[in-house]
Amino acid sequence: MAEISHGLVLGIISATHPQYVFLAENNSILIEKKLVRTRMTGNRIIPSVRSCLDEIGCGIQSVDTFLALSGPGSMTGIRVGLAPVRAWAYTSGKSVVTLDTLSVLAEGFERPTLALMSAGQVNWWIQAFSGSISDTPRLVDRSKLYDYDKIDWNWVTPSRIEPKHAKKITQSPTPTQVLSSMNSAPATNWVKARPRYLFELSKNG
Amino acid sequence: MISLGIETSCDDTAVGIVDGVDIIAQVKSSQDRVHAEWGGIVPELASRAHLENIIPIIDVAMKDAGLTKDGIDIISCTYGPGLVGSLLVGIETAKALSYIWNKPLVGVNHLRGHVASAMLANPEMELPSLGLLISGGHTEIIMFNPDFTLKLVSTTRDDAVGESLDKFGRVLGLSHPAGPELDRMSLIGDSSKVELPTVKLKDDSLDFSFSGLKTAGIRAIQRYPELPKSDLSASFMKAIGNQLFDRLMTATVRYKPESIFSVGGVSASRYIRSRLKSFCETMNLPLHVPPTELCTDNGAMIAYCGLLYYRFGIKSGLGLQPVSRLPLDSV
Repeated sequence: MAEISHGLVLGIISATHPQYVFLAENNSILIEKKLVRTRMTGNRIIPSVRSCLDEIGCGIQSVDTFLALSGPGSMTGIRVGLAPVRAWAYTSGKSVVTLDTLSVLAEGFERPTLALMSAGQVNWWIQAFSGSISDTPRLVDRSKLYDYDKIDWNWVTPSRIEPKHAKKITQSPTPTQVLSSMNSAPATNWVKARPRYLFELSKNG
Repeated sequence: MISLGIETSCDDTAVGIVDGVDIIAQVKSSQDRVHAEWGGIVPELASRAHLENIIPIIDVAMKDAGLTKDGIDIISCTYGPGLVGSLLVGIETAKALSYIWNKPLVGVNHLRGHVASAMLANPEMELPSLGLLISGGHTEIIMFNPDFTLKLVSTTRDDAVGESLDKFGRVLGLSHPAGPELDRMSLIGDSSKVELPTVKLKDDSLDFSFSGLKTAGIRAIQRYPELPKSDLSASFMKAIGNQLFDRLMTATVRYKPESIFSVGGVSASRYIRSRLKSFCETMNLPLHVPPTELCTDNGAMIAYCGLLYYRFGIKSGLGLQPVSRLPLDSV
C-alpha cells in the first residue's frame, strides 16, 4: 500500500503506560518524550507537547497532522489524548489520524501474532494477525485466550498474562510502532476522532 | 473583557461566553437521557458524552456569539469539585484551546462559579450577602463578603438536598432526574397529608442533615401507598424547605447580611423560590436568585467567575489538574 505523507505529525500515545508525546516528519521521529506513570500522568501531556515543539523550534500551528490512539486501553488515557487532539484539529482545520491500540502493538512483529490487553476483571481485548490477514478486535473471556496459545505464535501485550506455548513480548505501543502503523492510515477530521472499542456497561456489574 | 467558560464537572456539557456581565452565548448539552435508564449518573457514561459533545458545543457558542478566537480574551474551565473523568475532558480541552490560541487559562472552583452566577444575574447585589448553595451535590450556607471573599457558614453532614430529592423521587417512581418533576407535583399536592420531621442537630449547629429525612420520606411512600404522588411530594418538599429556612433564619439573625441569595440547581425549584420570596419579605431583605438557566450547571457562570479570578490576578498553567473534592474556600 502506498505511504501517505502526513507532514509534521504530533502524536499522543495515552491509552497505555508509559505514555508518549512525539513529533515526526518524513517517517522519522524528531523528538519524543516518555511519561512514566504517576497518579496524574494525563495532565503532563499538553505541557510535554509544548516542550517538544519548543525544543524543535516550532509552534503548534506548524503541525500538519494530529495523531492519537483511539482504543482499546485506559478510558481516561484515551480521553486525555483525544480531547486536545480534537480541539487542535477543530481550531486549525488540520487532519487527524487515529489508530487502534492493538494494531499498533502488533506492528513490526513476525506473524502470526496476537495483540492483547486486559480489559479489567476477566475480559481481554484481542486481535489476531496471521499472514496478511488480521481479525477485528474482540472482547473475550480469559478462558478463550488459550485457544490462541500456540507454539509458533507471538503474544504482544503490556498486561500480565502467561502463555504456556506462545512467545510473550511485554511492551506498550511505542512512537516507532505508531509511526510505522500510520504510514498507510488515512487522515480524517476531528469529528471522526472518537474512542473505539468501548466496553458496554452492564447493570449486572 | 470576554471570557469563554467550559463546565463539565458532572453530567452537563456547558459552554458560556460573557463580556463582563453580559452573557453573549450560553449552550448546554444535558445527559439526562444517557443516565435515565440507570436511575442516576454513571461517571463513565458522563465522561464519554462530554468528549463527544464538548467541541460541537464550543462551536455553537462561538457562532452564537459571532466570535473567532481573536475575540476571546481568556479561557475559563471548571477544575473541581466534580467527577474526575468528566472534569478531565473539560480541562484538557480548555488547556488545548489556551495553548493553540495563546490565551490565558483560568481554572475555576465550580462552587464559586455558582456563587458568581448570583452576581452575574444581579451585578448590583448588596454585600455582604448571605445565601444558599443548593444542588445535587452540595448544600451550604455561604457569606459573600464585600471584599469578594466567601465564608462557609454551614454545610450538610450527609446527603445534599438535591441528592435527597432525586433519591426520594426515584422510590416514588419518577425518572432521573426526579427533582424537577417532584417540584412540579409538590405545587399541586397537599403537604398536610404526611408530617415529616424538621431535622435539628443536637449541637445547635447550622449544618444540615437530609439522610434521616430521606429515609422518613421513603418510609412514608411505603406506608401510604394510597396517597397521590403529589401529596407525598408536597410533604417531602415542605420538610426539605423547613430545614433549609430554619437554618437560613438563624444565620440571617446571626450574620445580619444586606441581602439574601440562592444558587445551584435546587434554586430553580418553584417551591423553593416561593419560600425564598416569603422569607425575604418577612426579613425585609432584597432577594437575589438567578434565572433558572443560571441556577443549573452552566458555562456562563464559569466564564464570569473566571473573569473575576483573572481581574484578581489568578491564572492557571497547562499543568492544571482536576480536584474531585475541592472545598468552597479553595480558589
